[in-house]
Amino acid sequence: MRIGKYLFLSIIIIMGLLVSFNVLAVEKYKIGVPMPFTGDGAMYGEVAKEGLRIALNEINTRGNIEIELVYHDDEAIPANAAIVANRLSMDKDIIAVLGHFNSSCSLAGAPVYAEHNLVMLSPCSSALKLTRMGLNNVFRIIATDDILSKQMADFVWDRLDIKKAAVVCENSDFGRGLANGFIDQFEKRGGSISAFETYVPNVDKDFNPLITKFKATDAEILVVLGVYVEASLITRAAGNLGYKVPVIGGSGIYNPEFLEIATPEFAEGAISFTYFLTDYPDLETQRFIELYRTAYSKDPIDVPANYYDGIHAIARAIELGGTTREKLLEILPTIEFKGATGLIKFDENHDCSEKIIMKATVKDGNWVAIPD
Amino acid sequence: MDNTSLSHFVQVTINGLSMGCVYALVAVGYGMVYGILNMINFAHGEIYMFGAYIAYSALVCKMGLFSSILLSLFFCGVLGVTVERLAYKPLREASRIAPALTAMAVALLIRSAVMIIWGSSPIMFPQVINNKPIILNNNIRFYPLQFSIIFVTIVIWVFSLWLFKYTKIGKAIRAVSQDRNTAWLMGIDADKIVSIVYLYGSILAAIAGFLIANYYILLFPLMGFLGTIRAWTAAVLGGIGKLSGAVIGGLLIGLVESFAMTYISTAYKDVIIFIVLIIILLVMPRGLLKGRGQKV
Repeated sequence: MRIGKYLFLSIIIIMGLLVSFNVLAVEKYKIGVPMPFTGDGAMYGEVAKEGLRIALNEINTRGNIEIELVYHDDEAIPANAAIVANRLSMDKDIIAVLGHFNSSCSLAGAPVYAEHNLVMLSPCSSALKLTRMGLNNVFRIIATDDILSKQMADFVWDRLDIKKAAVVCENSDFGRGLANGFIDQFEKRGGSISAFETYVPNVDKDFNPLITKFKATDAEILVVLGVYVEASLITRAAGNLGYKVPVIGGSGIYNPEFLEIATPEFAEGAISFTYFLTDYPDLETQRFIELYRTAYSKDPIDVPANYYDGIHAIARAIELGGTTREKLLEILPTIEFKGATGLIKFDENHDCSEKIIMKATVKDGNWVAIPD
Repeated sequence: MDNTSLSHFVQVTINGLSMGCVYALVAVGYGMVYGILNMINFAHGEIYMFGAYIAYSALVCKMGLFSSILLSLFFCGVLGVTVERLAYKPLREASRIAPALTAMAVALLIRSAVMIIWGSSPIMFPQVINNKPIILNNNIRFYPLQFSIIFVTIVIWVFSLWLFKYTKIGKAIRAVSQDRNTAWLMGIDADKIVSIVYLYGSILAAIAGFLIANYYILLFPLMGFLGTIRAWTAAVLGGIGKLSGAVIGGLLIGLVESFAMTYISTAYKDVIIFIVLIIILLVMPRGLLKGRGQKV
């Protein structure tokens, strides 16, 4: 009899536990994060993870849902991105994808996700084409690079009063998109392009011939459209070869590493157009920067902030009922909130086109904001 | 040609020569191993990359310039000989394709190990060699580093020529390269000679790695692989297996690249380099210095 009594008691306890677990358990959702963790883009993978960790902590302690991130390395190579996209799409537990990082990789992955009704929210890919392919699953947390490059061209023409530019871009969808936008707008305004060259990202490292070529032209500004690795080497080569023109670039060069590799002496006066500035006085931005500084004791660049906003956008959509791949596709476009990088609100193309583009320059070896 | 475009031309030549010497420096070690052992050592580039990382770590630990280089030479030598003993020696009698594939696997292993130890993002190499540009006039500038690369390449070239031609060990190496079995019969310890060749090749790789890391400023795990593509092209162009061919091929490729980038287009420089390679191989199938054409 005693055994029966214990058995009965334990069954009740177990059942009670099961019930209470069911009540307490929050739904768990998996989100795929494909981006470069090796190769030249590895530094971006690392800082993106830092931003994601802060966001994940906030979302999971809020307690409405629980999010688990599944990281995949696409090595910034489009062919690998397509493979990763297939793996993520096949995994039925993955509800959304936050990525890819590089425009070329996003372009390779997007059609694959579209076939599987999987939301792809890219935090950093700026190539215009990405949201103009007629795929309704593609979103991005930033504006397109034609907006940024047009503003850059206007700035060079109006504010710097420069009429001749030398342009160098990385030979990728990202670099080419920025360069085409800049050249179109600059020529429309009446400026002329003295030279236009490209380099292979992750491969070309010797830019002395490039600068030697630019030096023979009459350009008054050097427009570098790529990420910090090559942009800083180009700036450094320009300094070494005595090519004294101002350097201007996109968000890729707003990075402390740029100062270190290009050396503060040659980086002085360089201008960056970016969606994220540590000087920006917005409350949400400053709150994120404070959290980031406490966690990692350094200043964030734009990438972790974009990933922070990206994962929050997806989490909000899930909380509002986007609990399956299909439902998420319906709810994500309606999301609107103030994030670390400004207003997160998707327009009819699924771009955050209302985001403010900011300008920074290197002054006394530090990035500081340029007032409007 | 007016004065400005002349000095521009001189600058382009200097750029090309220093790039070319970088390729030649790698190609000398790469081509030497091929010339003697008839085996493409795909791991050569990884060894020079490894050497650069070792030198980086030594410099970060505040070791002096020379002790850092020596440390890097030592580690690369040990790595080269170990790889030879463990991965290539058991395959000496196998078909020619087997050791080449093993070399690729070894290259992958070394690259992954470097990624695990030092991480995969690019690292800035401490600037230990004074690299303030020497200014001739506003349009001609060169770095002391460019000249040290050219200088070291010439020293290595001359030293290797002397080593192979006039020393006892050089003669033994040439004997092994011509016919290993007969060399055995003549009392030459061929296994030892092969090890020495790898040791020497790895040391050359370490020197190249140190200079190139200084020249490119950045260290990244793919630098070895990318370096060997150009170096291999240089070796083929100059005549495979020929020491002087590697140097001449490297210089030629550097010059073609520099002139193509400056006077034609940066985007098509690789196309132009390979067009030059194809033309030269069509006219001289064994390369500029008539290397071992029949075996390529």
